[in-house]
Amino acid sequence: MPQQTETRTVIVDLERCMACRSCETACAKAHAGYEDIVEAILADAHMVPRVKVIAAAGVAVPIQCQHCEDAPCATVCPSGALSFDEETGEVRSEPARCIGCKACVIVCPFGAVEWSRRTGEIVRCDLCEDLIEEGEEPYCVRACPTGARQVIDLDALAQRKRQEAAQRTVLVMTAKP
Amino acid sequence: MASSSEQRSSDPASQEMIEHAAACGFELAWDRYEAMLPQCDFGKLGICCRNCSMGPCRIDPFGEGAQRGICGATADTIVARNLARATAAGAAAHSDHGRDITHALLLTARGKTEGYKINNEKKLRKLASEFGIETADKDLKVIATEVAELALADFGRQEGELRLVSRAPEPLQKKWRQLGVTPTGIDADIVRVMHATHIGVDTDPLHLMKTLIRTALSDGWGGSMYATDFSDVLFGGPEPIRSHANLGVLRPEAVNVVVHGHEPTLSEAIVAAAQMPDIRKEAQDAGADGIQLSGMCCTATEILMRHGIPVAGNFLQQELALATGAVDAMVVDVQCIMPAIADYGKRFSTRLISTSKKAAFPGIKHMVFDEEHALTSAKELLREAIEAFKERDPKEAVVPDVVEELIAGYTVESIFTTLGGTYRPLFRPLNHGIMDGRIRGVAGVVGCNNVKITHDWGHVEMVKELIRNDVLVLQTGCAATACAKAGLMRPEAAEQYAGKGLQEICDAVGISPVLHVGSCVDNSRILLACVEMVKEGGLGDDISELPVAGAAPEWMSEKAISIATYVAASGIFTVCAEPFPVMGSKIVREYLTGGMEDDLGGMLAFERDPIAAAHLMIDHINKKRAALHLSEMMYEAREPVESEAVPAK
Repeated sequence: MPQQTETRTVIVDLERCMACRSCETACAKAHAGYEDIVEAILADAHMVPRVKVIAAAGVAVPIQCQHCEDAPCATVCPSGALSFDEETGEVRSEPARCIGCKACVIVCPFGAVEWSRRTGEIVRCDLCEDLIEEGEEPYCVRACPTGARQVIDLDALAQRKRQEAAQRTVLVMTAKP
Repeated sequence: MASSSEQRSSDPASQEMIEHAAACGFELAWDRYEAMLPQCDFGKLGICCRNCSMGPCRIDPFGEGAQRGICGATADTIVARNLARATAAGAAAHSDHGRDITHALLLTARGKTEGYKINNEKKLRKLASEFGIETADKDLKVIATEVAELALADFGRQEGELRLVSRAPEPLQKKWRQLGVTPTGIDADIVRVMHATHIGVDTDPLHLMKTLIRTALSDGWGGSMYATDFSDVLFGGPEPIRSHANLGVLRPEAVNVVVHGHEPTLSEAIVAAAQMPDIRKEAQDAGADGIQLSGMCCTATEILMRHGIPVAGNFLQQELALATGAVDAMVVDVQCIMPAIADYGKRFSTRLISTSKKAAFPGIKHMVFDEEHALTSAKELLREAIEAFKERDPKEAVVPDVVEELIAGYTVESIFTTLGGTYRPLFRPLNHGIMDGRIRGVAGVVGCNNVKITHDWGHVEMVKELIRNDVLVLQTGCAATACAKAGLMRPEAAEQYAGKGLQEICDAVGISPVLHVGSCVDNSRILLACVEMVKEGGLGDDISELPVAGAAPEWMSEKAISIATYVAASGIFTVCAEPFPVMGSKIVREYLTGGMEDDLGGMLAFERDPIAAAHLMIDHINKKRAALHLSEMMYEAREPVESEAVPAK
């Protein structure tokens, strides 16, 4: 069985998110094959963002596929169109195998899977696999004007948090009353 | 990674200074553009609205999320309102400039200005006669007062039609009336846009198009036209004149004063003051060999046209001129002045001085100029420059050795002497050249610079393509400066680049194939040249029948939106490079690029590639030639000259 080297995901610093929805437009354009929104609009391209900025309690929260380890969408998918890739830690789609049962849409706890009536396919974040493999950032991350979005390796994140927690602990313990 | 100097500009002087700026760690507009990427797609499509505090609202361009703003405004309404406001801002800029010139004429007539006089009596009398003013036995100052007062009344006109509307061909006036877009008053039309675009007023996108077309027309056939007319009256009607352009006009051994901005009132006074013996002596005493005046942006074109003062550069060269370290003072007034230039005042001894009561800039010394003390103020500014020269470190001055010759100074009146001679009617040689098939048609190529397209490349490539196809080109503003720097405004350019038919005409009358007709308000000269072509006869009864086209290959300002709109609404097919921020509305987009032609005879197109854009214009001109049943073109288009310019970004 292939070894998973790192678990990558896109995280969002909610304090930096300005709700400009640049991630949405960048994602939708790129997956429709365009760089320029004007060209895409004039070509009547089918543009669907895989990330959605949702307002909750006055805070903007970008929502997208979390690439769950125990992914309900992959579990319920009867045709094998959705599967969890042990090597990369991503949920992968094979649109050609999709039969359009929409079970994934129903079970996703984040509402991150959508059914496109126009193309007859499911639409969800693919973490811009090709870009990540070339060592580049996904389109949504590149488009964020405040740097709120980042691709991180979860192990590295956990390591950093441990380091920060340790630092705080030391500070508390050594603080003079 | 920063883009290369060749990607940023096709002009060698600019390339050199871009590299120098990078080596010195100076930040330029191109650097700031790259830091700004990616730019907001909602803004590009024009579908965000900030007109009330229930918003901001944005329409989801993918059709899934919000399709209406909180008030219910659709993408079509929001796009139309935003474009209307941009048009009003552009029209306001030109018209407020026009108002100042008109006011300066009035003050001069009343004997209240210092250093100005009425330089063009002939044009003043012609205007008085056009305005129905009795001039017999009247003092020139009284005539000027009456003319200026009537013009100022047009700015505040509350009913009826703008006075200069009557200059348009009758069929065009009729189209405007039928559509309900005839301008009323310059200020009132701008106010109407601001009212109409307030929350809950005009929300019909096509009705909003009429409102914005009306204000654009009040710019082209009002504010801008008055600015041109009264600048000619006050400062003299330009005549063909030789000069130079590009950063190489800065001379390290002289006190270099660059005037930058738009209104000629200040720059005219500086031109006069720089020639005064006391100021010249002060400059020499400081160790300089004189005062070298040069211009930037449209101020440059104003003093170029009337005095042959050399042009230092166009919009994207303002920082590059300062980066030379050889500019002792940059004196600015209004429009297209980057606040970023303040950095250079800290880096060098350069004095940066803003002079308009309308515009102050953080970090720039504000010395308000008024017409009553024009010469005194101008001398003060020049003394600041002389002081700066004394402090200048000669080792730091780096000036590119790049300069090009040009001929400027063409106007509707001066083409009279150039084209037809004194005894022949004005535009006959031009119209005959077109009818015979030597000249395919005429194009106005105007507008700004824009970091989104390689600096000067859009202008120069388009214009070369047009003249190669025997299209005579008229230019204003930064577009004119771009082509002047590329050598297209020398008579020799006809032989180098023009098609055979155009070359024959240029040789016969001794002009270059690309004519400099002034600043951005002087686009009104292009409108009036079209009027003269119609009057001359043989090319139809309206501007929309003429084989002419317009373009703005590097536009960026709201003024350009107003210009393109009034040019199209006057019946001229007009191509803009960067799309207007209207693509989020099918209704608005389709009206501007289609429906408008049914209503007014002219429309817009958007094409970033300057060669492709040139061919849209040529195709349009050919279509108009065919409709007029004109002769076949006498010669095939010339083979393209190998271009050394790099493609646009």
